[in-house]
Amino acid sequence: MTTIKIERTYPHSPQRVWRALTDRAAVSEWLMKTDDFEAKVGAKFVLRAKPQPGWRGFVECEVIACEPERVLAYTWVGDENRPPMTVRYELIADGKGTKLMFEHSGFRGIGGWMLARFMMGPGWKKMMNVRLPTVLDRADAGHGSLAA
Amino acid sequence: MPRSTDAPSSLDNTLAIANTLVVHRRTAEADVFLAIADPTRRAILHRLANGEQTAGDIAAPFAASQSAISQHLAILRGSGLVRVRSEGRQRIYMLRPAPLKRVQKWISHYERFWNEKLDALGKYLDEEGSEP
Repeated sequence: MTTIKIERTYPHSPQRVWRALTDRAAVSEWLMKTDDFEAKVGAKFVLRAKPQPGWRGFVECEVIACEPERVLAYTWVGDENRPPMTVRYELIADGKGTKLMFEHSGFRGIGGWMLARFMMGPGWKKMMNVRLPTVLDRADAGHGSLAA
Repeated sequence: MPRSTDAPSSLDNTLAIANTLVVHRRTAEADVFLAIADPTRRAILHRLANGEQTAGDIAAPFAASQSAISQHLAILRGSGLVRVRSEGRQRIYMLRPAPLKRVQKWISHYERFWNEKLDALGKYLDEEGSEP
């Protein structure tokens, strides 16, 4: 499974972080507007933002894991033509604070494949960060005929 | 791309453009996927990232026949990842990285999105009133 992983530590108790992840008003504040979120496995809810060209402006979700102050996970369908992805929050008490281990998984198709096979590896990073800019610079300088 | 306004006709217009973009993106993604799904073609892309090469130069390090390599090059051209130009009797191939950049952009969009949201969560927690 192809995944974006982010770790954060917040100087707040797991109870407070959990509340921020599961309270409708809180979620509406820091993530996206919701008026039907429920911290209960099987609960379906919608997260809304401003529609943009190429995006319908809302994400359909269903809670698939809910262990208070430990784990919250829900499906994430931002586009009806793409397979559902999953968003998962895991909380670990860390001294007086909370370590949050966040994952957004389920990148499939070309994006997932590239994330898994290329973008995480040193070969890919070298290609995107070292070689491509050089090729593009050469093109900009008029020594090639690359279309950007 | 036109800016959306409150006028309904302009909104319809924007949606139509959005749909067109989505369809184009899918098609392009499918072709790029096919192109990079093969190890020989990935190796060719990595070689071209160092600079343009003739068809002969590209084929040289591979055990595959020249005609097999030509087929790989045709698929890479179809994906838009590679372009070719003629110089005298030679065909010179060069990388055109824009389609890969597009995919990278889609993923980094999500990375940026979540980093911003998790920052916002931290800010929300900091500003929220009393302990529970």
